[in-house]
Amino acid sequence: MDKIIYYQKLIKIGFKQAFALKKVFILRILFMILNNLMLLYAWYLMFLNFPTIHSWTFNDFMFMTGLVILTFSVWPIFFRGIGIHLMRLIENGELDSFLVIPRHVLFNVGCSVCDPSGIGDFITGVLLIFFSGLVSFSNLPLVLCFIFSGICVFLALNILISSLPFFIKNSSDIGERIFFMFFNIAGYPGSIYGGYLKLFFCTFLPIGFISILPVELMHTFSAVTLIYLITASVCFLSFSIFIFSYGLKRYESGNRFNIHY
Amino acid sequence: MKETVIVTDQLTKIFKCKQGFWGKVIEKKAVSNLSFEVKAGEIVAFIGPNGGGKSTTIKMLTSILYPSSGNASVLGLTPWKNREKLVRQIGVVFGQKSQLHYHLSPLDSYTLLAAAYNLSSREAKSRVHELAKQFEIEKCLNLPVKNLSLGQRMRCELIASLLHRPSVLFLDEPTLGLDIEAKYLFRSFLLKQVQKEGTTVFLTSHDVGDIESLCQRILLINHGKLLLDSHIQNLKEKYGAGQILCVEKKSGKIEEIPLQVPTKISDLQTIFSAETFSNVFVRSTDLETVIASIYKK
Repeated sequence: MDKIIYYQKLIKIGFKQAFALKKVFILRILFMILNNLMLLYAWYLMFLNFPTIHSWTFNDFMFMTGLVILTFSVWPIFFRGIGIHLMRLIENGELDSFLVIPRHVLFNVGCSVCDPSGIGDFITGVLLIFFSGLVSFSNLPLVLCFIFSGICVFLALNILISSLPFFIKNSSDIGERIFFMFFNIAGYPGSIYGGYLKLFFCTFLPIGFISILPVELMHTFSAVTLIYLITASVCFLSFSIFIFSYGLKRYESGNRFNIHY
Repeated sequence: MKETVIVTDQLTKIFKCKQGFWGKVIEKKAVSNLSFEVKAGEIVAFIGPNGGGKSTTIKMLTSILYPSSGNASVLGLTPWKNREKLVRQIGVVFGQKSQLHYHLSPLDSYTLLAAAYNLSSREAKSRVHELAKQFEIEKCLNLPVKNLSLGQRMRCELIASLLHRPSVLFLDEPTLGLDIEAKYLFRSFLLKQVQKEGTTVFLTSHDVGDIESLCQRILLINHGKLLLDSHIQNLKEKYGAGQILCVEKKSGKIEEIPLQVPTKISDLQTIFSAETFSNVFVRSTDLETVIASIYKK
């Protein structure tokens, strides 16, 4: 309980810092919504010419995009500190002030920064899922399971990439590119990935947990696949936290002057 | 008999750096087989030249760094194995690093830290009020940290480290960059507070003023090895020139003569007869000279 109170306060402070620049705060949300809708419009034009892509309709794509954007949005809103910010802290040896606080370093850094553009993503994600026409009251719990597993996968990918500087020096720039590459892969219709590529994305690099399996499960429900989806997502997240904790042993503190921003 | 709160046993830290195209690994021993003990309530200065291994040792004792070999225990806990448990009982101030949020007020940071240490809001409020009053910083609590002077910020940092009543306080160059008055205030507030609460203090500083005004004991380290462990007074007697006879001549020049025990008046005759003098006084060797002479040796 005390942990929840602490992270709640940490996130509140992150929001307070972001909201200190009110106009930028609101503009970032609006422009993110606009950016997402423009992207969707481009795909809409594409689907007008090709009504299905490997059996996926525009509604399937809309549902998948909504799910990708919604699950992704949790990162900038609540865990924006994980990613490039954390990688730079590790590279510059600036984790010290987080290490002397009795909380998990990863989530302490993660929750300490908030990016308001994530709220724009969150709103778009909810709207797209709602208007995709695939969601009904009866399958809402299923959608919530997809959201949960998607959050785990994105978070895990981000944590694994954020751990790179422990093992490879000056890898923050390439780490950020790798993360957005994964995000882009997840943004294409899942039906285009077949054969070994689909197997790869549904096992070792579980981007398919967000972009392939949910739409398939919405059409043909399988309890085994759902259990696999949730269990594997949680295991992947646990594995990423383990790798970060292992990497932390290799942390080298620096002597730069620094302050929390 | 006072309880031992800090123990290191053959503590060693080796940093590995890769150099050249093929990534040849070069090892640098920052701390080498370091062993010492600190008792509860002691105020110890951990000093040494730049690159001597002071900060690396403090970082191992505060669970920031993992050692390459050896053991250490702070309050009965191994720092790198019990990080969260240990940091609940210790306070850390880094002169170069801040615990406070730059754009927010110190009070916001204290609220957050209080939640991290599981202090109730009432408890945290009264503790902040008590410390802020003692450190004369009440007016700064609601200002953004970016608008505080360095002296005010460091006092706020100290409050952040003392908020949860730590048993051991680690200070890594806490007065770095402060002006004379800010240093004086910082030291006097700190001393008053740790004496009141019986806190053990482990301090690294290049400022002899910090050491003289706060510490009773000195641990001197160089190239990662412990060279000396002594009480300040013993250090002066052993390595200093003891008492110094200062003869101020009418020309304004002051001649300093180390006094041997015993000193014969006949040894001083040449000085007194050669020129008339305006003043004669005796002073002790200052700690800075003593430490500098040890560094040289």
